[in-house]
Amino acid sequence: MAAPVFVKIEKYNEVNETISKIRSRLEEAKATLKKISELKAQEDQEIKAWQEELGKMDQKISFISENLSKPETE
Amino acid sequence: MGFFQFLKPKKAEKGEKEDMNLPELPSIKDYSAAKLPVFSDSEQFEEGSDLPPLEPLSPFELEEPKTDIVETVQPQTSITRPEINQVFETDAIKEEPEEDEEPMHGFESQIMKGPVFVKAYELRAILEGINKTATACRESKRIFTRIQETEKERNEAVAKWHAALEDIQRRLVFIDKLLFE
Repeated sequence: MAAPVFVKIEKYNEVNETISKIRSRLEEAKATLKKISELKAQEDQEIKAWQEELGKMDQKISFISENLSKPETE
Repeated sequence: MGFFQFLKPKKAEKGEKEDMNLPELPSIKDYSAAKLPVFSDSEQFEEGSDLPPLEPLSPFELEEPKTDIVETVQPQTSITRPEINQVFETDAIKEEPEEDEEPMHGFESQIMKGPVFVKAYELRAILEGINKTATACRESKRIFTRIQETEKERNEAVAKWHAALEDIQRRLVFIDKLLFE
């Protein structure tokens, strides 16, 4: 059975430290992404409301147009 | 045409100019030959002045400004060579860990003293993990760029929408005015 080969790591503590910082940054990025998702959901709702308003406007304009194109004469 | 008579010089003035006979200037030699009085330095202020004679000046000596700085003698330090296995505590290591930081899985983020040895195959796995993380990071960057482009397009669309709304509003006001005239 072959003996295991070990590799010496000089700056182990620095590596550890950096990994901790990366994890912290990842958590930060996750929180930001969550916030972006929430904002996007809110924006989607606004767009839906906008679509509804546009539909209403379209209907009303059609109604006005119809009335104007067929004027009742006395 | 007598309108511009005032511009012409009067006859009397013209005659005056012609009659002005200036005396000749004296030659420079006359001034160089003139004798001017000479004053010596001692006589210069003695006559006609009430000021007392000045005392001879003492030689000027430079005085060093007095300061409160006390010279300190620095102790001689002996430089000792650090041992090879000594662990240096740097500022980075001294930093307190953040509250939300979780301890590292398995290693519990302990500060190891002395050299650390890792099995070769474990190191290979670690390096592969770093590679994969770097790839994921690159992919994330690409996604970020795409999102930025989408955001730009969205902003343009919103601007268009805003312009259309304003136009509709203007036209509605116009129709309103027309109908109620």
